[in-house]
Amino acid sequence: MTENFKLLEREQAPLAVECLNLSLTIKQKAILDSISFQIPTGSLTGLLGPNGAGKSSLLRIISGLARGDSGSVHLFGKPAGPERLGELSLLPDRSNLPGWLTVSEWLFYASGIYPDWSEARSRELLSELSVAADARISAMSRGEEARLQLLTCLSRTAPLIILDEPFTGVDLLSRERIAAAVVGELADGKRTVLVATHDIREMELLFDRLILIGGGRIRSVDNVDDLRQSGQSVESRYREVFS
Amino acid sequence: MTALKTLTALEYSRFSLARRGNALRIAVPSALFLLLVLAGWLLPSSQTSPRAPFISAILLLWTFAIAVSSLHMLSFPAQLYRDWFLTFPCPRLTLLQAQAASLLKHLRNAALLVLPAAAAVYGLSVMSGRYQPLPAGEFSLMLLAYVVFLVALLPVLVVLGLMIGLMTSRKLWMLLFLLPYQLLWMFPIVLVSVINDNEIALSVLHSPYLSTEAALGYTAVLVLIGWPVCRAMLPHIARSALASPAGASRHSVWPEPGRAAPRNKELLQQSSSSSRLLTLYRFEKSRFSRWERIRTVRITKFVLPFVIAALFFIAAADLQSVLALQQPLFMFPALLGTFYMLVRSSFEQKLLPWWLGFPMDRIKLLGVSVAAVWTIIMRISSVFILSAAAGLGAGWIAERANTESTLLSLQWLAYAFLTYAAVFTFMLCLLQIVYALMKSRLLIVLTFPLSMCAVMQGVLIDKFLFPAESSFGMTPDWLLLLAVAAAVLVLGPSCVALGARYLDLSLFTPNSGKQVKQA
Amino acid sequence: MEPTAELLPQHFQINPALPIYEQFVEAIRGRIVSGAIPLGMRLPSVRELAAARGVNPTTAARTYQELERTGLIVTYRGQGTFVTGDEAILAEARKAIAVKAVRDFTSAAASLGLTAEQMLNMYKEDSV
Repeated sequence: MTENFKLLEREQAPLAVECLNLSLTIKQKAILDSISFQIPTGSLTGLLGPNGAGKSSLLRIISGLARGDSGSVHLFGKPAGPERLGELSLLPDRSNLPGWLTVSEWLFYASGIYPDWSEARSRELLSELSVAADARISAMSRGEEARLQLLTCLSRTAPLIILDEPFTGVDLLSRERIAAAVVGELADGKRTVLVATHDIREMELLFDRLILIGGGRIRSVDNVDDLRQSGQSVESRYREVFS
Repeated sequence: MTALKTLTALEYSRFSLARRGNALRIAVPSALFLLLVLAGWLLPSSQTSPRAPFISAILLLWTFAIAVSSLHMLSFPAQLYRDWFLTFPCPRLTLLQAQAASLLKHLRNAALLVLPAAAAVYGLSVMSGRYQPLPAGEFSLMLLAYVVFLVALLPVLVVLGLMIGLMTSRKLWMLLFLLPYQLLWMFPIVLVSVINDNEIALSVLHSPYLSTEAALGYTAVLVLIGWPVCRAMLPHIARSALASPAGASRHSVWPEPGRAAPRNKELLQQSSSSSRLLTLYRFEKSRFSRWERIRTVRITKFVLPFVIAALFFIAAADLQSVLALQQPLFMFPALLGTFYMLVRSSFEQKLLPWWLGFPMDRIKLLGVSVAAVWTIIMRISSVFILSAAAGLGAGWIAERANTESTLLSLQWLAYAFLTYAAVFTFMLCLLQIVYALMKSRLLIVLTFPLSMCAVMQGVLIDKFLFPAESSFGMTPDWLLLLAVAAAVLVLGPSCVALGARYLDLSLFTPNSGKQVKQA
Repeated sequence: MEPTAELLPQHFQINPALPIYEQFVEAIRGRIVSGAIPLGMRLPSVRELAAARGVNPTTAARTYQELERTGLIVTYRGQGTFVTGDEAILAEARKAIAVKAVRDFTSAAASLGLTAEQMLNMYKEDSV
């Protein structure tokens, strides 16, 4: 078997993420309602759903920033929690990097903070995503800062990458750059990517698995190749489930 | 570099002057230094004792330390950068330690500025012959003792400030911390005013409690008891204050005060008219919640009572100061409510048709909206009077005022509170006449003097309800207040009733006409 | 110098509702057989293909797997993946495409109730 096809051999690998009956209630409102799903290692999974579906809450719990009320989350077979943050690289939704720093200052700090930081990868991504190293973060446009946030995530070698709305406020060309950078990360088949997004069209060719969530519940989990075998696209599946 | 060191450096870089260019790096500390020396020179206590500048410096750093660290923790949940900070892969305790360490570094910088300033004040005082210099040996021992005390004290104060992260969590018992906390906040302010009071300053400054030996004793206590306690507290603070809310809103760690969201069950039971009125009242109050959610407002809400208490503690010795302070104290909330009433319609124009469409008696509709504004303003005023009374009480305990004059001050405080409450109530009702004035073009001109009258209520009160010479020993005129209150009770409701009768006219004001066309 | 060419047309339209690797395999096979991709050309890596077309790397890997199964491309360990230089395999692929085209043609005729010859004759009569 040649290296090209290692990607196709991942069924035996352990599960990257496994949620079992995860529930969360805030102020008597069920934000998440017995969520169960599995994400195999090496896949690029799309977590899609309308606004307020519970995507961000779910991703916060998976990454260990927050806790659910009941149920369990396992990453690579071990329970999730803040002590697992070194094994995943999270891009939080609607969040800012320290605006008082310049890009290179931030990258200097990041290299000290993240134990799995790859200096070489970060330099590569600077040019790949065309981020100016001397720019002050607070003066960057939204698209630029989104690319810098992604750069921060992808410069790490953590086996799990979780991106929460990486495209918010990002122009078309930045979107394409971000999408291409995400593909580049995945090619060795060892890293797992989970993306929550509204932008189905930019990402649908990238996903190999699809989790649709609405009203705090899992509405469907699909293998994208199977969908296409039956003549459905990600977008038509989304419309079918949510209309 | 270890993770802790990097994180500390990152946190520290945030307010570091070195990052803002060399000019600022030199200019700001120099300016501050001169200002501190000037302030120290002018402090009455500096004239009396060679110890005073150093004690003042320590007290200033004390206040600064606890203020900076508690404000840091209070503003943390609202920071946009918070989520990234929380994703850093290290124990939450390390994150908190980094925050504390960076605060300590900033405080070290402050100490390096304040202590030399104190030394400069001491030097200037000696040169100008205010007092004889201390013998070199005694002086250096004293300086050493104070510095060691400061080194022991600052970490404890930083942790105390960070403990505010525990108090903002929902648990009610956390509020128990508030009392000792408030005392620690106020202690330096109390002491500063004591040592600057010429009559008792010398005895206090030379009391054994402030001697070099005592400072060393305090240091030992801080290191032996304070440090271990703080160390034990850190994991608790990290767990409670550095947790991300599971919900999407970054504000949800905060308890939401005054939020009157009716629960589902309550909504179902709202068939009777009284509960409909209650719902309407809650709805009216909910209009304010958007302001209560603003970070600055929340911080102000927390800090203001302490400031008021401190001010009244300082003023307690002198009735004239109390009288001078209390008027603006109650005028502020009254004007806040009045201005809100005046401008309300302009930013809630789009809601107006809905509001008027509520199937409810117009008098009730208008009355409830007035009542909502009234309760909010009265709540603020009540907190103010309680803080002021606490300050006066502390002044009495510290023997800054005797029992008799304290009681008199309290009496005046109550009088001012009630007077402003009565007049504010009346003005709020009076403003409702505006709707009736819309009836004709001639009458509508009267809106302007009416609004002016409401805005000038403080001046009116000062002129008619406070005696020209409220000198020491004079008691307030309670009968006058009683008369005013009676008038308000009669006139107020009739004003509201009059306004309610013409409430629908507000839909057709020139202002709303424009809005309709635009839509 | 090594022969080079684009693996797929610049503006290759992907239909998201059909398996993408099948669309890739068909297009690349057509371009090899027609000579648009020269024999012996070195192919981009799976990662490069996926990033360039914005598709999941699995899709790219499966495309290569399928092409390799028919022998049109060959992977030499440590050197990379290349278009075959074997004319016999090329002829076989050409034949397979032709057979498939005729099969499609025949089934189109059958759906009209005709044989392939009848349909071909109709075309000849019309174009004379």
